Amino acid sequence: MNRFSGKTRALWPNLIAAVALLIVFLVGITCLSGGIKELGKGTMDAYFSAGMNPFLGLLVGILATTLVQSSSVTTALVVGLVGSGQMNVSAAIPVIMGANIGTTVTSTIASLAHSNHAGEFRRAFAAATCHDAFNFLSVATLLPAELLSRSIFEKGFLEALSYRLAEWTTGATGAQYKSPFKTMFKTGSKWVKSACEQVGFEDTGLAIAWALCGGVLILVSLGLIVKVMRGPVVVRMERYVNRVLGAGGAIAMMVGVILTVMVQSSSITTSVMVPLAGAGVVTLAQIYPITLGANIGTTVTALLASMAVGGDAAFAARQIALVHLCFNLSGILIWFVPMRTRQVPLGIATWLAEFAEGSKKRTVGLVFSVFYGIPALIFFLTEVF
Amino acid sequence: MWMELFKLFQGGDSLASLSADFRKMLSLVEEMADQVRPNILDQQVSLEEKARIRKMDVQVNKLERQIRKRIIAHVTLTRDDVGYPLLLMSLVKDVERMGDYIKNIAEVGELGGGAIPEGELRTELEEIIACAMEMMKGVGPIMDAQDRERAHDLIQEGKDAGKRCDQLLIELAKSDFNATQTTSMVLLTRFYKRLGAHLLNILTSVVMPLHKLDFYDERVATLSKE
Repeated sequence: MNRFSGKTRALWPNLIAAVALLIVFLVGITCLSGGIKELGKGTMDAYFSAGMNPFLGLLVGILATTLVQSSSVTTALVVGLVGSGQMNVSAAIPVIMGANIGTTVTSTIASLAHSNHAGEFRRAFAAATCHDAFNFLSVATLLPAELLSRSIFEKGFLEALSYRLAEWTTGATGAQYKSPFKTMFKTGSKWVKSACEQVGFEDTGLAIAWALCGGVLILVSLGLIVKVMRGPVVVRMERYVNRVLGAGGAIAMMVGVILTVMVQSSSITTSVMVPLAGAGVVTLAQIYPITLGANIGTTVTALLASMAVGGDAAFAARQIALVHLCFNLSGILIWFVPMRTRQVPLGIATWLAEFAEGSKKRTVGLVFSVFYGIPALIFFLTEVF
Repeated sequence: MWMELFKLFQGGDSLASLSADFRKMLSLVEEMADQVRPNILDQQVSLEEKARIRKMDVQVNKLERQIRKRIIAHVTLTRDDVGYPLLLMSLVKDVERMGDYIKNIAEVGELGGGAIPEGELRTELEEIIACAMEMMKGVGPIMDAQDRERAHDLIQEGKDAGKRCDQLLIELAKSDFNATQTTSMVLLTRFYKRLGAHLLNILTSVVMPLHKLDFYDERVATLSKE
């Protein structure tokens, strides 16, 4: 029994690696934003105009996030696009909401691994879909509210709220302050650009190559952060289950925030919880606040990305990053804080799990129709009528 | 709240802490057995002692559930170090059963058992109890040190004690003990034999491979010893 020393691996080597990768990520954002900016203003108006159907934006967000399995990548790209001036905040808001929905696919897919054991699957699927239910309910309430307030006051409430916050935060730090970090990211971005030039890219080709390199850096760095930090996150999740579980919703939410900020991916935090729920170690009610914490934690990526963006559209980049935060906080205020509404996503998750139990085909059909079918149908209806 | 969150960053190996909690379970059952031993043959276990034993049994059961929950969390999350958690999953069940048997021993009087008179049968039972207690006190240090030699010796002693229990019941059938005395003798012999059997199960974890846990095969044990 004395075979265990009680010593654990130190966290700091992983943290140092994660910080280094975070710098690469921010260089990637600078490259992306710089490359798209060089393409010229208005190049992407056809795709991301202010008048873009918001349901198309929602679909784009869902599809992009399910493709890359990371809302952080999608939101970072959106920040890059907004920061380059190619996409405005109004058009970007539904994409951010779509990214929030898309990120829940990972944990839902993770729950399918339990489909061979009925009871285990029911618990795991409910745990995964409570994240889905929250995000869908938040979009179902906040997107119409945003569109309605936009039509009445010209600015949607999330847009207005994030604008105020962006004003307040840039005012606090000084919008014109020359950050040494920003200089570092710019230098890194220039290196990437000159590497592209040396390969032989010119003019528009150079701008595209520069932006693409930025995209690759974002994808790779976030992927590696997940790889480097997954171990420490798993250890802390185990400690949470052993030492802190049952301490209350606020603490569970903070744990979700901390673990997601560590790993820069809400999918990882929620996916790690799914097998624990399947095994019956944690209950649906215990998982729900962690999931919401993960939703808040993942907004840090976009906020960090906005720090790397400079120039005229830096304020808009900060604003869209804050939209992500405001959207999740508003969703929590509506679907978690009041005890009555809190039961709604939990009830939906339980019902979905009971519906899906016993049939893999039905489950896959459910996942596809919920994630892609419903948004596509709404988009189709809004385009036709 | 910050203290709760700080716990996430406090060190400590989960397997080491599981191991420590298993030792806590063992210490609790040992304490229970120590409490019940002096007065059991005369059926003089007081109500306070019985209450204390029941309370400790509840603690043992709680620890068993906690350890199992943590094992599941560990295996589910890390998906490595599966051997030791599987072993512990089985061992905690043995310790929990030991707790139950000691509680049953303390309650023999409530089942109609009376004081056992002095004589050969009582002496034999005393020796069997002494052997069970020796095994119980030895099992923790043996597991700590993974002392295979001592484990083999104790397993042999335990097996011999089991045979002595069966023989004791045969002798009892020939005796002129009355109903209450026979009830005590039969139940105590049975319960201490079961206690010894669970201790043997735990000791096999030191000398046998995981898939042969609970089964002592001298040939395999000797091979692994070499």
